[in-house]
Amino acid sequence: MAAAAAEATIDGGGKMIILISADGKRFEVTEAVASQSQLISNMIEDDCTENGVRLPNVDGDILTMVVDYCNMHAGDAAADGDTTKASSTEELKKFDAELVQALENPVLFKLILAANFLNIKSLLDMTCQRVADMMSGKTPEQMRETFSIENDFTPEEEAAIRQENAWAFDD
Amino acid sequence: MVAALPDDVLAEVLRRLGPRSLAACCRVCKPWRDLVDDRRLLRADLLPRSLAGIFLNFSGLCYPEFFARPSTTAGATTAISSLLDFLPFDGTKWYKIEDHCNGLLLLDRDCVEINYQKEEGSLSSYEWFRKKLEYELNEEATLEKSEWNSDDDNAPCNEDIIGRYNEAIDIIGFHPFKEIIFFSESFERGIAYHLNGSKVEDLGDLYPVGYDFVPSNEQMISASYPYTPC
Repeated sequence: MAAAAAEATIDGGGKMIILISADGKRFEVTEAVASQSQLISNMIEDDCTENGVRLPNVDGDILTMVVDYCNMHAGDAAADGDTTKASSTEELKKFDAELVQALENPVLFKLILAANFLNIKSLLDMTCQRVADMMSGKTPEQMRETFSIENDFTPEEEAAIRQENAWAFDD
Repeated sequence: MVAALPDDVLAEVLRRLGPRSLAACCRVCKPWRDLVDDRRLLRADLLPRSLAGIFLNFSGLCYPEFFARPSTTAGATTAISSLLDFLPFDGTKWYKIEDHCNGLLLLDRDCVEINYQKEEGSLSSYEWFRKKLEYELNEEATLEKSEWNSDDDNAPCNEDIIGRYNEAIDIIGFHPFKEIIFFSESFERGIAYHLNGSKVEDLGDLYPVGYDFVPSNEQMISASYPYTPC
């Protein structure tokens, strides 16, 4: 039944939940979609979603992405049986790849924070992996540039750390 | 920007990185270094940080050989009992290295922990090897920089090495963290092939003591282990 979550409301089968972003935007989703968030899932269990769920940490544009993601993935949480309604694996992969690839860093980080706050493990995994991929193989200088980080080491300190892990550096 | 990520989330990102990238992260800024240190994300103690040499089991010989280039850095002279001849020898025992891990050698009969000695090595083979090496290479500059892991441009790019012998070429190991393959050429010469830049480095003679008494058709490297002390 959860596999059909996205359609459930039309049949009148699923309970709807209202999510309210920091800037007051409202999103109506089924329980099955929303409960991919462990945070909301716990709230549903505790019966405190009646008047809508306020998410003061999440902006509307970020919550739009999160809701899109959860809608797409509502199927795989309850994949057994009805596969016609669930998105195909390839579609999902494509959707996921496009979701994170296109993001500018600040948006990507906001999405990570939202996934962390809402406790949506698969989204957190995917976005963290994306950042890790961006770091992989980069020199410290390149990482600082990519993530706008200031070097707070003295040259001596940096040399010491470099020395400590000399095996890792070719230059 | 990335500073906005809570430590738990940043750790979630960093723990997906390989050791080399993590080591680079430690150099980015103090908060990153502290995070990697505090959560022990980079287990440098589990990584091979140096290549001391290569143990070689030669068929027909009762002890393995240790093929290494002596360090010429003052005070850092490292010597290893290349022949393992501190082990009890009753004339019947043969020692073969089966494997090794973090400085521990697994022999076919015994497990031996090799202590890396700071003082001058007592072992003749080491000295023998060193002299032989000096004789063979006869290049002071190269000897001074003769570290296994040197990617230095002074590595002799000796195209003549390949093809001088037309006998067996064995792969005796891979460098644990550099793009280098080690070859033996007809048991006579160790060669390091640098995949970066395709450099060929002559590592000197690896012909074992005592092989003069082994018939040439029985001469063979039966196993080899790049040795990475802790």
